[in-house]
Formats: sequence, structure tokens, C-alpha cells
Amino acid sequence: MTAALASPALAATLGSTSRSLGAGAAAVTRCDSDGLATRPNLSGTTVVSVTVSGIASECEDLIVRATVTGGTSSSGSTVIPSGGGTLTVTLAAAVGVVESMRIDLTVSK
Amino acid sequence: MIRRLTLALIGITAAAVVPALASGVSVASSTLDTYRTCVLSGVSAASTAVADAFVNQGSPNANSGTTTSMDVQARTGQNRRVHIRFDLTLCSPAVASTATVTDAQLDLFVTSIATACRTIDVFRVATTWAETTVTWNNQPFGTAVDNPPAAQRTAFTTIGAAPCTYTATNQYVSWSVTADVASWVSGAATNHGWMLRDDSEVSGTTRLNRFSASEANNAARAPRLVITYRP
Repeated sequence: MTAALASPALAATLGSTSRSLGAGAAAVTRCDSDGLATRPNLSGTTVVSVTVSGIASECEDLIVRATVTGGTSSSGSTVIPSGGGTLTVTLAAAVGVVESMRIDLTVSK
Repeated sequence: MIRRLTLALIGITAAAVVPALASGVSVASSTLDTYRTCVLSGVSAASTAVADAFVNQGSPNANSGTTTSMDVQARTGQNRRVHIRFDLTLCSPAVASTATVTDAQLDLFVTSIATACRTIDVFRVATTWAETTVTWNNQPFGTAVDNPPAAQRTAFTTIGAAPCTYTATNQYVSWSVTADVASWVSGAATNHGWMLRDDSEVSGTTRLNRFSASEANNAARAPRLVITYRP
């Protein structure tokens, strides 16, 4: 009874991106069903920012955080603008390009 | 009376429970989606991430695996094609076969463009070739011009004079290769890389687009493959 009372109120608060409730479940509703594309932007031989494209409008106002790991590691974050689309995440520090690099990207509230 | 008491109890219970649940799910920091991108770059001649070479119809037995640039050229009897392959096993962490590839882009840095707008096609290669031995005469797709047909291409873009997509030198040119990379990741196909050729190799005029090779030892211009996926 308690859960039945609480869920609608909480769901209304969290909107379409809410976590599901119950028994510690961590199920998540994604705001973008068809996935994103990520590109590193270079300045000389370093990555200075990351372009994220293909963002669904349902993701607006959420936060994108990118961490680039190459010669070193650095992160940056930004808020998804109204309508989604494409955005650029500027890194706190430039990361040297190496043979194999990694970009970790999260979309969060 | 009983109904009033019941409604009051419901109100008290809801008021007490909602804040507790909201606190429990950490609304302010919920991660809703996670992606990872593997960027493989041919940053030097010693790089094992990339095998790249071009083949030259005008020197049909010559290998160019150690040259610093790669040519896609249309000219009857003098056609040139690029072969390139990335070692996906160098992604760290490894891309699981169950990963969902949401985007993959093949990027080549163009250093010289044709004086006319040219369509450059990318084809997935289905057989083995080696960077230091591939030639016009032994290339996987054979020596016939305009082969394989454009209908079999993975992707294309236009490079050269306006109204091409890419009209300037010293920038990355991209081809979308998501489906090919997804098939390699899942194990549905074997990674033998790609071949790039001019869409129309029958040309009385030389139409050359030149790209930087890994042997240029320049990380700012390195051939690269950018794979974005959900782990």
C-alpha cells in the first residue's frame, strides 16, 4: 500500500527519466533510444573537447559528462540544450593523442 | 468517520514515505545512460593500430605500405586506391561482442583535393591483405576498374571542388562505417578493413585526393577510427 501511494508521486516528480522503484532495482529509462555519436576534437596533437551528436530532445536539461583517457585523462560536462541535437564538451585539460584512446560518456540528471 | 480516518492515514503515510524514497534513489546524480568510445589512431610508423597502404595501377607490382601519404585517384590506367584496417583488439577496455555500436566513423586527414568534385566510396574488404605486400595486382577486389560496383559500398562522401561536402585541405574527412564495425564487434564478419576508391575510375583527367598515412608520424593527422558504443 505504501509503495502504491508513493510511486505515482515520485514518478511525477522525476518525469520520464525516473528510476524504477522496488527492492533496490536500478532499472533506468534512457532518454535516447537510438544512441549517440561521440567525436574527439583536436588542437594539434591533443584532444581539447568532445562533440556529442544525435541527442534526442527527451534528453534536454540532463547533464553530459565526458572523460577522455589518452596520454593523460581529463573530464568536462555540460547541460543538454533544449531540443537535444549536438553539443561540445570542453575538457578541463588537453589530453595527448595516443594510439588507443577512450572516451567515457554519461548522461545523468 | 471510518472513511475520514482512512483518508487521513493515507495522507500521513504518503507524506512520510515520498521524501524517504526520493532520498533513496539519489535523484540529483542518477546516471541514465552510459557510452564508451574507442579511438584508434595511426599516430606513427610503428603503430600497430592501423595498417594502411595505397595501390597504384600505374605501378601495379609496387607496394606503398611505408609511404607517408595515401592516394585515391581516378585516371584511366593510373588509378589509385587506399586500403586501411584498424586493430579493434587494441581498444581498452575490449569492446564486448554484446556491445551495441551506436556510431563508427572512419576519419582520414586530407592534404590534397581534386580540382573537381569527386565521390569517394568505401568498401568493406572480405579477404586478407597485408600493409607491406598489397599491390594493384594482388589487391583483394582485383584489378578491374569501378569494381566492386558502387551499389556495394559501405559509405561515400564527396571531396574536391564545390559543391563537394569537403572542399578544403587540412581537415578530417569522415565516412560512416557503423554497420561494418558492428558486424566485426559481434563476430558476424571478420575485420579485413576497407578499400577506398574513386566512384568513377574512368577519367581522362587526373583526379587526385591525398590523405595522410600513419607513416607521416603526425598524431594531428593520423588515420583514425572512432567507435561509440553502449558497453
